[in-house]
Amino acid sequence: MSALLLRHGRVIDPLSGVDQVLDVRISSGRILELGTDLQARAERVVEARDFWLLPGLVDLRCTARDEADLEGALKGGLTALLLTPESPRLVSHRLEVRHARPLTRELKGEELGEVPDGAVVLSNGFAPIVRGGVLRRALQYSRPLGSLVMVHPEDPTISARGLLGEGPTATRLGLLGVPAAAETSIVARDLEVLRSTGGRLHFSHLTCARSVELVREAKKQGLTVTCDVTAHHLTLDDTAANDFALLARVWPPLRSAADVAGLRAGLLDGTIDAIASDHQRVDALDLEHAFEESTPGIDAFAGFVKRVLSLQLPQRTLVELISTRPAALAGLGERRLSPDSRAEVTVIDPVKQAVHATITGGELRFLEGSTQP
Amino acid sequence: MALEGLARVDIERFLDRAQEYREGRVGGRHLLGRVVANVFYEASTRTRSSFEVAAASLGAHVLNWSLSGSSATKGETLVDTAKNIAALGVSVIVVRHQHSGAANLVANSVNVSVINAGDGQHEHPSQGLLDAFTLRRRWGSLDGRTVAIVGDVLHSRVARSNLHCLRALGATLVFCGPPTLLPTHLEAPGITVTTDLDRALDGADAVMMLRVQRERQAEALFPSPGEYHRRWGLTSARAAKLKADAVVLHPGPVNRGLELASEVADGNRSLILEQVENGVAVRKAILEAVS
Repeated sequence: MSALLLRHGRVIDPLSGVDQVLDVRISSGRILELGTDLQARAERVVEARDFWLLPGLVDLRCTARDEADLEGALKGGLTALLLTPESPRLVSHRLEVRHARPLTRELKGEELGEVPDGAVVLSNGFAPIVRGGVLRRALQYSRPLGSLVMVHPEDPTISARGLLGEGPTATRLGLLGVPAAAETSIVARDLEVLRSTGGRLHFSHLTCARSVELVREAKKQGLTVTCDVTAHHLTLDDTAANDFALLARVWPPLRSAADVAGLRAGLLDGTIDAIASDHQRVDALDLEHAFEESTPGIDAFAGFVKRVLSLQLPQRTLVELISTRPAALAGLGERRLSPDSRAEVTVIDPVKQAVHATITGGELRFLEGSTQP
Repeated sequence: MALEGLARVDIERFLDRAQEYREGRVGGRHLLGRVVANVFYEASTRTRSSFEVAAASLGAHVLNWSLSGSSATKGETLVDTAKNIAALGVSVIVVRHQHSGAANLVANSVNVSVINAGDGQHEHPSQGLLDAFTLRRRWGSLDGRTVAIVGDVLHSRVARSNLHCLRALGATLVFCGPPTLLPTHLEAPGITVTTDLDRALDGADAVMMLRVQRERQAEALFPSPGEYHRRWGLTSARAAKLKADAVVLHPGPVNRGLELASEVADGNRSLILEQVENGVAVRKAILEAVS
């Protein structure tokens, strides 16, 4: 195991209440010490002046297919991933990969999926749970186990063949619109079910301002609900589909600027618990079909840090949304930069809004400008 | 590619040239020795034939690249197909596709001229131009005229092309149809939206009836053809109440007895056959402009 010294970086660690320029010494996979002007020993030094040292970023929702995706995640500053049940089983020694267990058998939304001991997150991936009764049973069953029930809120009979959030852009381009009610009606239904069952309910990738309002109200009333939004839904609105740009071919669909503003407000007041990437790699061939025929997805790892930094959130809030809280939800324990904690660190260049380095298990996995970290 | 964003002068230039073709003032074999490829992913007899006649009479050889179903089922991407056709050395690709934006994608992937002959629910520019041509020929100018566009506006590329084109030429538009078949956010200066057909027809100088696909009934968009005809069909009784010189258009093919009563389709207000006739002249002007 190598030893590392990260020098003169701004350490931002909400759990430890630290926000100051420090050196961080890493050895044997753990953080050894923090301090000012630590003397370099026989170890690799990473100059981090003007950079931020954050507890390693955690992605609460992404779809990874192979090693190439994992490589992309490390380059994107991510140190731990919670994969959707649509992802194949992946094992990595380079970063922490967790798999959400299927909430229902074959994600069909009919029978409950088996819950192995210690399963932290049960997810139905991109498959909607059309039958409210199934969600009710899932919440009831998982409650004593303490698992998080992660759902993609969509009524497919309302979204129908829609491709883009309902609005002037969808109308103009002749892309069938997806009414907000396709999402909000299920959020409302699921919250009412949760009210009667208890359990832990989590909404993935909310897109509507109204959904955020519903969750905000439910949290005020003490319901055990959490939610995430994606970095692209926070930074792109439906006009990104102009000229049929395939960047906008994502699911759930992009929505109006007012919805984007509603999501952003939910970040600041704590309604939204995490920003996820919802990465789904898009192959070159997918770009050779018309909008409707191309497979939805976004190469989200690459632009993740740039997008979240562009939100100009208070730094502490940002770190909570991309590291501390998703780590807790995914069952990864506390993400800290303090002596003896696991050395999971993301080094960010706030001026370039880019990842400078990614460290997992005490090893430098990615360093900007270096091909062999 | 699309009529959206086209300036009035540009549209008028097309219509003027089409007028010359229509009057037989220009003949010319501008496309002699060239190949025009008709690439139709979606069945269409009249648009394809119209382009074919227009291209042939300009001297071009017409290649009908027939496809059924989507490109995906053939294991070839749309871009692949387009590049293959372009590699044959054609001068113009005329493309019709069931998905919005397909023509843009083709145009962005090849180095030959591409004409959008209808893409999904997006636009059908040559239809928009021929409708404008037909009305201008009748009236001299569209300024101050009111055109009612009635039916399945939600799924209609004809409606979208007409929206941009007729409005640019100075007409006021009224969109009408069942609430389930009207898209959101259609309202704009110079555009009224209503579900009440009698209100839409009141004061209209022209009525454009859009084709309604019967399968929309299965999607719970309206209860029955009978009810559709009763509420949103142009019946003889409704046609009789139109302004004396008001005209009726339809992009074809007509569902007789559904959106349009037979007597109206064949009546003296109907410009439907003239639309077909004008279509060839307009498409000649388009082919000439792009090649």
